[in-house]
Amino acid sequence: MSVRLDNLVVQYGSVSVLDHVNLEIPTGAYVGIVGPNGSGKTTLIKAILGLTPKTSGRIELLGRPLEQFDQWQRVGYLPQFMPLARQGFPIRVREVVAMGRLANRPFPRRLRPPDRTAVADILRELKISDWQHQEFGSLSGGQRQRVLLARALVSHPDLLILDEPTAALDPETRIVFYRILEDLNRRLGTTILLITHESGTIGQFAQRLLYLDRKVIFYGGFKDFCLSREMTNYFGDFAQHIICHQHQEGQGS
Amino acid sequence: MAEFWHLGFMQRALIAGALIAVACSLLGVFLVLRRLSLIGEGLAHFAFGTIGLGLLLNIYPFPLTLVLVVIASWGILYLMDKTNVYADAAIGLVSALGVALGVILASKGRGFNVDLFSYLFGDILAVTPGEAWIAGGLSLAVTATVALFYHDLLAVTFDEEFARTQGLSVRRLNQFLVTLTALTIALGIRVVGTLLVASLMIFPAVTALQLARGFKAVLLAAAGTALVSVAAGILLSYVLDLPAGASIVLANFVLFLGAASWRLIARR
Repeated sequence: MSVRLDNLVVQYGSVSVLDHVNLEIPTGAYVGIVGPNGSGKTTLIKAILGLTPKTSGRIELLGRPLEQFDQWQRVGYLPQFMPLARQGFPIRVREVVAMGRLANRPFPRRLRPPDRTAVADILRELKISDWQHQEFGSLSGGQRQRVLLARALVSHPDLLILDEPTAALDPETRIVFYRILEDLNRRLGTTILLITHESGTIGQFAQRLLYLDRKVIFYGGFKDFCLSREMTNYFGDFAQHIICHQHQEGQGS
Repeated sequence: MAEFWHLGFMQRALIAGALIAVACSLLGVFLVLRRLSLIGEGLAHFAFGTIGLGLLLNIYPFPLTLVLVVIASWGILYLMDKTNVYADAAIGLVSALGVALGVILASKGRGFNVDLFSYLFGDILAVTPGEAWIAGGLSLAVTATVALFYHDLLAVTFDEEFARTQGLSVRRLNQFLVTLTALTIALGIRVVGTLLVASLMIFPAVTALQLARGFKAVLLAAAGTALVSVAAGILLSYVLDLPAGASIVLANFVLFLGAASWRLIARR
């Protein structure tokens, strides 16, 4: 099991953001997480990563309780925003990607030849080797996202967590991005947990859907979601229709 | 001019000034990029109050300042981490507290006002051999820290959240960084005084950011800028009979102006 949540509660002050969430994400799954603004999607993955403290409940990551988890090289993370990804931060693309190799390094952390090889390989794989000496801040939003994906992938993680990774991408690059994730999932069995607002597109790529609204509204396959009368009642046709329309088109093609 | 290099106090001023400036400049790069440039200013202002306290108690204020400024730096970090106070506001609170303390103590201790106000502007030419040694130790400690924790500090500066997902102890690294900053500020007060010491952190870093590409290159350029500014400032003060601390800051400003102009021209 890649992720297991038992009765997870996260509160900001007196406001409950996640309310007794129970979830099991098996190894090798590709899960698309959707839900309205403020539904707790980002809080959920930040709690899984230990970035946001839980109020109560239990989080298990790659078979170990989060409190005891130390194999961070097995987890890749692509955040929603890059607060410092501005013009002028003096860091080259290669240095950004190399940060993904820092986990579990003994003091003092040094990049060794295998790390440099891994960085070169992932840059080549994502077809961004040409940018390796460029400053990160000089890249476009879409280019930066690819570099950050390379940083998340450079340690060959078993679990990849992405928070709206395609928000800054044009439609073509978006499709390329999803294809890369699909390939990783199929070829290497990487578990993928992807937050997206593109509920109309995600059905073409992910195998499972998690609809979150402070608690789990639906978690399962797209087919079950689309046929669920309970979901029709919940959404009044609309969200279900958007998600299912593209999914069925994708299945048909 | 020739005797300039042979005067003992000049040699000490140059050596101590250069060592402290290098420490300030290396820390400054991380602080400027993390939008914490003003932490030096805040701690220096706080130091003003602690110096007043030392003089009131009739003890050599430097050791007391060293300890209290470190505690103040932890206070700023605590306010930033544990309360909803923004970094600049937390720095402002500690800074104001220090100045208020200094003013109150100055009003109470009539006899030491001259001493207290001399700390506002510093006196690099009065650096003792002992202080030069301490400056050397501190500079070595800062340089070694940056070398040993280079990847950790870079990761935390660039993307704190991602650094945490790599298992880095961001809180400890931040505490380490502000502690070194506090120690460096306390020492730097001897060189340029409480009013100007923070400029030794900000100027070389922003000048280097105009000139260099890549993080290591920026660190080297900042250290180089700091060294040049101290040498030029002390020489200027000797030749034109100006206050040394202020001359170092002016030299820094000229270097920044040159670097910014070069960058503007290079972009065209």
